Amino acid sequence: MSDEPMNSKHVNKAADDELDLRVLRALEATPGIEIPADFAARVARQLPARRPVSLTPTHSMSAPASYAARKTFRPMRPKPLIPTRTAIPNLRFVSKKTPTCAGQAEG
Amino acid sequence: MDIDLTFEQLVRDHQAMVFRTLLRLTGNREHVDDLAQDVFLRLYRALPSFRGEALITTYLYRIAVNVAQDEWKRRRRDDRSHVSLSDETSAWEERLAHPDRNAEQQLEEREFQQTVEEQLQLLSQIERTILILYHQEERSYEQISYALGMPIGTVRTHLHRGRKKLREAIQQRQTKERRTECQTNR
Repeated sequence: MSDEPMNSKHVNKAADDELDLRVLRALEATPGIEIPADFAARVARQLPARRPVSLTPTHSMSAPASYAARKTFRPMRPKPLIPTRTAIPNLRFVSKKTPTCAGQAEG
Repeated sequence: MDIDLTFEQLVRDHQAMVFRTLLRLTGNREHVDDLAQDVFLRLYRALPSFRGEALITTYLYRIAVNVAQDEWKRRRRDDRSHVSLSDETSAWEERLAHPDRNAEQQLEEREFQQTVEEQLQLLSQIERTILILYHQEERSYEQISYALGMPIGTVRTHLHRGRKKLREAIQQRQTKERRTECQTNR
C-alpha cells in the first residue's frame, strides 16, 4: 500500500482550508471609504420641511369622544330568532263577547 | 431645529456603516454619496412608523439593502456594466496590505482580494448581501433575518451556498490561471 494518495488527500485538504481562510479574510476586510466632511450637514439640509410628528416610537392618541361613546354604549341587540313582537289580544273585541258585570245587572 | 440636529448626529454616527455596506453591495464608488443620502432620507421619512422593535442599525441595513436593490434594478435598466471597486481612483484593497509583508506577498494578496471582489459581484443579489452583512458587517443571523425579511434558516442556507459558490469560483479561476501559466512557460 502506497501512502501517496493519503498524502495528496492531506495536501488537498490543507489547500482547501487555506483557501477558505483567505476567502474569509478577504470577506471580512472592510473597504476604505471616503465620506465628505459635510455629508451629515448636507443630509440635514435635504430634510423635508414637514417634519415627522415625533421621534419617540410609543405615542398613542385617544379616539374622538363621540366615537368612544358609540363604542361603549352601543345598545344590545336581540338575537335574530327571538320574536320581538307578540300578538296582543284585541281587548275591545273580547269585551263584546264576555258579559260585563253591568250587563248581568240589567238582565 | 432640535430634530434636525439630532438627526444630523444620527447620520454622523451611522454614515461609515452605510457607506461601507453600499460600497460593497453595489461594487461601485461612483454614486455611493447619493445612495447613502437616499438611505438617510428614507430613514427620516420612516421614523414616525419606527416602533423600536429592532435596533436603528438593523433598520438602517434594511433600508440600505432596499436602496442597493433599486440601484441594481436601475443598472439593469441602463444595461451598464459596473465599475470595479478597485478602479484607479479607489484601489481600496491596497490599504489592506500589511506593512510587514514583502512586496510580492502584498501584490498577491491584493490580487486575491480583487478576485474575491469580482466573484462576489457575480453571486446572486441575496447571497452577496448576506455574505457582506455576515462577514463584513458582523451581523447576527437574527439581524440579517430582520433586515432582509426572511427566516433565519433561509439566511443560513444562502450564506452556506454563497460561500461555497465563491470558493468554487475562485478555485476554478486559479486552476485556469495556472494552466495558462504552464502553457506560456512551455
